[in-house]
Amino acid sequence: MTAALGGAGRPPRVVVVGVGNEMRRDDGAGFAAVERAAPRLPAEAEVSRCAGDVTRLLDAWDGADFAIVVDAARWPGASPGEVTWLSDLGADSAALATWGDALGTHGLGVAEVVRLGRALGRLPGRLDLAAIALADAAQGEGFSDEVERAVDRAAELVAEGVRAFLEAHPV
Amino acid sequence: MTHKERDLTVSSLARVEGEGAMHVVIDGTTVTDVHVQIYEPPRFFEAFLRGRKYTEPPDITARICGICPVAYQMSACQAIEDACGVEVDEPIRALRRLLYCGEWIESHALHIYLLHTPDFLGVDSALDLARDHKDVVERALQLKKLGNDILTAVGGRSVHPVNVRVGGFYRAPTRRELQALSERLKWARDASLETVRLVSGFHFPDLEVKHELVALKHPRDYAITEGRLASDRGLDIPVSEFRERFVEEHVARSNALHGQRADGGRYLVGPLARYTLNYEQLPQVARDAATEVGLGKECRNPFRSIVVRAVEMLATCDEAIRLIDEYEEPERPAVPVEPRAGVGHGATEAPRGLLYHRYELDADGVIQDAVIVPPTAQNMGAMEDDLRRVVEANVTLRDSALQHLCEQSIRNFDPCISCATHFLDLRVERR
Repeated sequence: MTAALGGAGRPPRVVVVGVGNEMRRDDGAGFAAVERAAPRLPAEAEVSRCAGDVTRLLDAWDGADFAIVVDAARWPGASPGEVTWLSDLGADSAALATWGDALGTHGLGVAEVVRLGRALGRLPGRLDLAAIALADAAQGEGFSDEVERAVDRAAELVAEGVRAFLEAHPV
Repeated sequence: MTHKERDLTVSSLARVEGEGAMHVVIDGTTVTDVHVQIYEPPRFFEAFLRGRKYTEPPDITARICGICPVAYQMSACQAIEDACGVEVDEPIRALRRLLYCGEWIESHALHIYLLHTPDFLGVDSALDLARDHKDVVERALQLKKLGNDILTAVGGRSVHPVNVRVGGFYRAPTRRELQALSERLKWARDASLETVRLVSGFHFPDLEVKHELVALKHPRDYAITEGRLASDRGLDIPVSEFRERFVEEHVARSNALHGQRADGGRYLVGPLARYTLNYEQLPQVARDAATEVGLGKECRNPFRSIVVRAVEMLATCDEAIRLIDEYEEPERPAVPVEPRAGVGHGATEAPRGLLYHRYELDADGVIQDAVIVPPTAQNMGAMEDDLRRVVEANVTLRDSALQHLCEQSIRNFDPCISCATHFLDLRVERR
């Protein structure tokens, strides 16, 4: 099934945001994943970074038909380098429930901002989240081997996710 | 007497940027130990900067903190320019101040509304606040977005601005680009006044701090981008003498350095110090607001720091409007800066307080040594002292209430522990 979005013949607005801190080793995985995905995305897809204040996500995805957020995270039972994809968080309020505040390594976490966006009616049309399980968040540049491979995998998933969304929602 | 031993653990302290731990030991009704721990190698960036070119610190140090990158950039630029014997043109100074205003508006709005207000309204988080006070959270987000948009207009982007360079900017914004922000700033000034009125109505626990209050002081401007080092005990020295008066002590239990006066005393940087030392430099609209809510000309209750931040946000909106009104595109976006061997010092007021940088360059402009003293490290002694006094005054409270009060006390400082650290683990131990 396909459905038109955007209105007045405008293509759907797609936003891809990497969250993290590139000077904290694996915590920079979100940035790297969206930047590696960027060449495989249509030119109109907006790629950006979010560091420090994660509530900036509310502005980054404001008015978007589809947003993908990629973040490094720790969660119980995860193996370093594991990539988990959470789909349509706006529609599935239970999707984040089991994650609690484990998602993300920042003061006000991504999960909390998603809940905040839901309470304020400030979520994009559809919001997906790719979480990369980190191994090392010490200060410094570069990724652990596991996360280096996971960044490529996450970038592939982001490109595939955008492609599938646009195919399902033609102009 | 038999003491009942109790341990309380909070796995992470919410609404604090960063990672660390706090440990309180109570023996009966006596507080025997309070310390704030920091886990990270605090001097990573100083080592990272050694061997780098003199042009690199603004970009590298911006990555220390996602909340206050401009503070790091501005202190770094000042210090490098000082080492190279360069003074920037007045229009560049004004543009830097406007950029810094954007960071203050965004940071203060974040802390006042989303991190600190939940404490005073008795809710757990910004999420609860959004459910019960949606209009208040929407106001916060609009203020934050405006600060963010100022960073984008002047700094090229809001996260780790890319338009900042030693000597000025790569490109000066056009007058039209900045004027587009003016109407929103006028709304923000009104919203900030409403913020002052809102937060001044909160209930504030009694606490009067006696730390030496230290901030920049400038004869004309409210201390943000430049000034001499001043204190409420008569200190009045150039920034270059910072390390003669203030030292950093390595605390065995922590990876971070704790700031203190060279004579061993505690000092406090941040909103209370800035406000108390620079009240006369506030614009009239901010002084009027302070008078209206009974803040007075000085403030020594750290719980009232939320009111001071609101007054500062109002002042900063007013200042940004003035800077844009007076803005003329500079003839050149940056002054040339040629390297030379020497030492330079820089200090600006990050939203959380004084941020000092020192660089030593060789004749080719290669960095031989770097020192960065963030505000949260300087405030660590004051933070522990406040915690001790808060716990002593409230030792009969139930553990949960006491724990909440401790967390609130830490949030009074708006600690950006991520300048030096991450997760915060809180433990209260009763013996």
